[in-house]
Amino acid sequence: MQRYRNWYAKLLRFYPRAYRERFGEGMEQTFNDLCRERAGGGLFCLVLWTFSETSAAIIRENAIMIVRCSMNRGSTIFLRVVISLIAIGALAVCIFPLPRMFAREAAKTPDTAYLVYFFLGGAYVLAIPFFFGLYQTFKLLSYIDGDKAFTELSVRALRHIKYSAITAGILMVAGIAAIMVLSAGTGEDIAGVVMVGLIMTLASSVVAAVAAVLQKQVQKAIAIKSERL
Amino acid sequence: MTYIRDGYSVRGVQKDKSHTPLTPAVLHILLALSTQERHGYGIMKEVESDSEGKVKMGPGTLYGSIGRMIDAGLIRESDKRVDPDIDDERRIYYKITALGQATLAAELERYREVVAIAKKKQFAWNSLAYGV
Repeated sequence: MQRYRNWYAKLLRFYPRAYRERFGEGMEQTFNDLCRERAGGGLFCLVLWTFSETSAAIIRENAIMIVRCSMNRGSTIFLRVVISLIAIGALAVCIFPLPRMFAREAAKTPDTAYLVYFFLGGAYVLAIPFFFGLYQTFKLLSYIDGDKAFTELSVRALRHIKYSAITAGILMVAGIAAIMVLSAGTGEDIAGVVMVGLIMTLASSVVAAVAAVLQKQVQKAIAIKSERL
Repeated sequence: MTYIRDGYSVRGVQKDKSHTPLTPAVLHILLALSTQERHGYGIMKEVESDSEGKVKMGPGTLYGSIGRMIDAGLIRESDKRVDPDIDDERRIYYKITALGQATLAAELERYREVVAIAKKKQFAWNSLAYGV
């Protein structure tokens, strides 16, 4: 039981500092009381439930705090600059090195050049959800700055981010599958390409999951706000 | 001033609608604190027994709501003392404020009005079977 208590204390560190200082001790005590009550049986289920419930609350409190801070200072400017730089960088890659790289590959294997161009097309299709997701993130940040963080607008932006991440992930998986099928029996070394693809798939899954959780928490926060508490 | 209606009375309390409607969590916490001061775990247990186990509140929801309720002036920290029924650790007790009582009264009044409307419309629970 002591182990669970230590884990819970560690989990509480993810709360905003002010909140933790205010309620951390009480929450730990309450968790200990709950554990003691269930010491006879069902402790594991209780721990699992409490951890997930508290994690959701941590995300919510952090989101509320970030929004409060950024409304005071307009600190989303930094994030907006970062997103703009990512977008510009990705656009530059799409325009210059990407076609050149594919053209070089195609020149190496003229017989299967059409396949190389097929994948180049795929990369540009993949860029659509990527840029759309970035644009929606940019929009979300401007909502936060404009005091519209907990509105249906940001829920919509988060939903769009989630869907574009899912779309990117699906495209990536399809691309990996296509590479594996096409290279089967040719003896080509595709481990590197597949690895990069898998990492990018993982990244888009993480983005989708975070957007989904945030969307739910913002919806909850809207409910709290509309009911005034 | 005594406020009496339909056999329900709250002494010395005026209705305050500025915070209603309340979230279920806030309503349950106010109800739990309406009879006596309690600490976090005490509130959780009271809510569970009040609702016959239907409402289960985790520490995240509980303390999130407590924070917002303190900020809104509905409850306040009472003092830090030992609960002899549990152990010898000192716990913070929470207490309902006059504004909290007034808000609870207004919320219960609102619920009563809603139920009265439903009764007037002769709403029967089995009508749910028709997909209402």
